[in-house]
Amino acid sequence: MMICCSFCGSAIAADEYDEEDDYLSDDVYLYEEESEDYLEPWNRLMFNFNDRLYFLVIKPVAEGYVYIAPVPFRICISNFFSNLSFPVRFSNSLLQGKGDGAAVELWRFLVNSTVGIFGFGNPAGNHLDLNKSDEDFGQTLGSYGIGDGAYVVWPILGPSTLRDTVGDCGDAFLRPTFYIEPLWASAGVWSFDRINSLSFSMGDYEALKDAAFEPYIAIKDGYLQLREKKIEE
Amino acid sequence: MNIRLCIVAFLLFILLPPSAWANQPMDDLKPSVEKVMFLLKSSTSQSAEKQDAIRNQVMQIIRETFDFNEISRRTIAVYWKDFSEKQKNEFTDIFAEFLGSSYYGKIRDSYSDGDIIYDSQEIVSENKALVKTRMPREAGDIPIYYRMMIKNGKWKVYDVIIEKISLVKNYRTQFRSILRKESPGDLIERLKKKVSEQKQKESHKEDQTSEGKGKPDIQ
Repeated sequence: MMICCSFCGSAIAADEYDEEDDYLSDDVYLYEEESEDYLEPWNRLMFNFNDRLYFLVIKPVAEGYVYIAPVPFRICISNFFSNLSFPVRFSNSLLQGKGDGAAVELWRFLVNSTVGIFGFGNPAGNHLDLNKSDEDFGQTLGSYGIGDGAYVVWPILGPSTLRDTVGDCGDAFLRPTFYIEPLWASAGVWSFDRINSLSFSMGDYEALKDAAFEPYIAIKDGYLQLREKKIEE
Repeated sequence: MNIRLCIVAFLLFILLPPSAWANQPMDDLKPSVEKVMFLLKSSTSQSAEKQDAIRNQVMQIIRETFDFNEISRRTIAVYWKDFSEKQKNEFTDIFAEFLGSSYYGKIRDSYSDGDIIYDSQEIVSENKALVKTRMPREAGDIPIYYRMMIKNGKWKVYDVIIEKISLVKNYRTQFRSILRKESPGDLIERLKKKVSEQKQKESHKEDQTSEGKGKPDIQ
């Protein structure tokens, strides 16, 4: 088995090359034991619900939005909401001991809110090359060693884990949009943000399904891989 | 959480014929990508037969660039020993066809005019390397990494990592779930069915300008 050099500095390269070779030996049985999908019946139900919701409701709305809203406008909206989430990224960077990340976030927020005019622009990212330290409370908990708990699919919200759900609840208090009254207005703003984000990746979900043999599993694995990588970094 | 599962932003590379025995992975990759992109861009304004010919060319290039033997073994993993020799070959062949045509279709339809950015290449062990690239998109670049392995002087891709998600691992998880209950033969049948569905969709798409005519799907 190759001992890969750990000097390469890439989190992906370093540990997974060895793991990958394990799959080739016959006596490694279920090396990659998946955590049990305890909530599978519920998850599959929700997956189907979300799938239908996407095609019947969300996608038409998003397509309509794309039709009327030009790209620069949508990018401004994306920047605006991203800027509002500064408290989430900042706090969680700190909680994970990522001082550099927290500092970058602070600079981004200050620059984008002023020069970037209330966050609609992103001069920090575009011109100062300050990139997001994309942390959330779920990652923070993960970095403390707290495991996924269980994979869970929520209606509308999509895939998550028990830990990440707790994380999202925690982060909600840090989001200004959470405090909008009445509740339906807050939900409306949240929906707008989500549809706007979705508008940049139209077609991805369909393509993913086309390329998958078991879409439910593909999405579950994709989500879990992504979270694992984000926590590692 | 915004999960951008852009798994189908699979990029295609060609290997140069082994002209130099000490090639760097990226040196093999770059001219290849450019050739494929050129072919894809030129295909949009051609007749149907020409498009077919270009498609075959691109598929040939894909087969030379990706090590589908490695990819097949790594996605079937522990169940590989349950496949007969014939099934192994059949699977490898059809999976290559499936992957190649999935991504051919997707790249052709939705590739934006930005050029792929090559960030770095790292030789991580005697025979393995990681090439990092980025695909520009409106709301942020998509990082796409290629794991490559050198065999007989040729660097070939054996995994693609899109937005931190390894395709090999993703398919392995899917196949494991299938092979727990179904036989290798069943999986191969499923693959065949998928490939023929793909072909139907592709011929429909050629008449349409917009894409993504999905339907709700019942598991």
